[in-house]
Amino acid sequence: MEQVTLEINGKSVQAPKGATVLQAAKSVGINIPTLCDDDRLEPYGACRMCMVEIVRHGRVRLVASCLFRSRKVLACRPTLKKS
Amino acid sequence: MNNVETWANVPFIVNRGADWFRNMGTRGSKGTKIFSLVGKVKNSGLVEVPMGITLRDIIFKIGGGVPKGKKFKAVQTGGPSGGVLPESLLDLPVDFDQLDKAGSMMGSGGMIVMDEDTCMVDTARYYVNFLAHESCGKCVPCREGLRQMLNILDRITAGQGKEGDIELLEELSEFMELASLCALGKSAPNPVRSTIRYFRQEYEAHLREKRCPAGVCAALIAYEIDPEKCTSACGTCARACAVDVDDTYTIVQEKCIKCGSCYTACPEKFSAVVKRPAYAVLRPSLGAQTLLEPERKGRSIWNR
Repeated sequence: MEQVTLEINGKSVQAPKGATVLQAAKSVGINIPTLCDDDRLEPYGACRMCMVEIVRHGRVRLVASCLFRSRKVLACRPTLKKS
Repeated sequence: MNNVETWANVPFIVNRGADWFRNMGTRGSKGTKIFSLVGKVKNSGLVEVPMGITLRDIIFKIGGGVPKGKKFKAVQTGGPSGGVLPESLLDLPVDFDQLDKAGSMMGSGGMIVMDEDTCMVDTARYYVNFLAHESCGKCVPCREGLRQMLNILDRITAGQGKEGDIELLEELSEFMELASLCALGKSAPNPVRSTIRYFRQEYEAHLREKRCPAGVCAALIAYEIDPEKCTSACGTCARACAVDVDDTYTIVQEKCIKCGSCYTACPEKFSAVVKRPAYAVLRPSLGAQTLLEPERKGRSIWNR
C-alpha cells in the first residue's frame, strides 16, 4: 500500500494513503482527544473535539482530525491552543 | 450561481460591457449593491447604491435619517449573523472587505438602523436567540456555544450578569469561530462580538450597575408617573394598563409587569410616564431579588 509521510508535532509519521490524521497519530501513540469517534461508526466530525491545526501551502487551518485524510506531506499540531 | 441579485446584474453587464460595471465600486467590490434599508429611518425600503458609498450617505441622504429627532446609535448589517456598527464608523465605505474588517458583513444586504432607544445587549440576545433556533445541532461548538451565549445574555439582560461574563462571551466567540463545522456557526458570534467591540460600556452597565442605558431590558427598568408632568390626570395610562393600576395615578411597582403600555399611551404633550432604572424606584419592602428575578417565559429552546 502506498505510504504517505506526515509530520505530527514535529515527529515524522508514516501512514497508508487515505488514513485519517487521527489514525496516523494513533498508530504512533500520539493521543488526540475524541468524543464522537467510534470504531463501529463512520467518522462524523460532529463533536469537534479532535480539532488539529494543519499547515498546507504555508497556511494554517483547523480541521477535524477524524475526517481529514492524509494525502501528501502534512504538518500537524493538535488541538486548539491559545497563542 | 443561484443568487437573484447576481443574475440581475448579468444583462446589464452584457449590454453595457464589463468596463461600465467595473467603473463603479471599490477595488475589491465592483458594481452596485442592493440594500434593504429598514429600522429607524424615515425612508425605508430597497436601495441600490454603488459599492463604496458611505453608511452615512445611505442612512442619512437616502434614508432621510432617524425619525422623531432621535439620535442614531448603530446600524446592523448582513442579517442575523452580521454585526453592529456604531456611529463612529458611519463614514465607512461600504464594500465586502470594509464590512468584514469592521466585524460585520455584507451577508444578506440587510441594513437595520437603530436609534438611541435600542439596547445593544438585548440586540445581541435577540440575534443569538434566533441563531440558536437555526443551528442544526450537528457540531458542538455551534449548538452548545449558542446555547451558552444565550444563557449568559439572558442573564445579563435580566440583571443577573456576573463579573467575567463579557470575557466568557469573547472566549466562546473565538472558539465557535475557529471550530464550528459550517459558516453558520463560524459567523454566529458576530452579533455578540461586534456589540462587545463597540458597545462594551453598555454590557458593563448591565453587569455592574444593573442598569440598561437604553431603557429596554424590562428587569432593569421601572415606570413611574411624574406628578409634575401629569397635569390633567386623564387616566389614559390606567386604561391602557395590563394589570390593575392604582387610581391615584401611581404605578404599583409590586404589580407592574413593565409592559410599557402606559408609557406608550401617555399623550405626547404630557409624557408623564417616565422610565427609570429599577434600582432607583426599588422600594425597600420589595428587596432586590424580587425585582431582578430573571424572566423566563418558556424560553427554553430545546423543547421545541
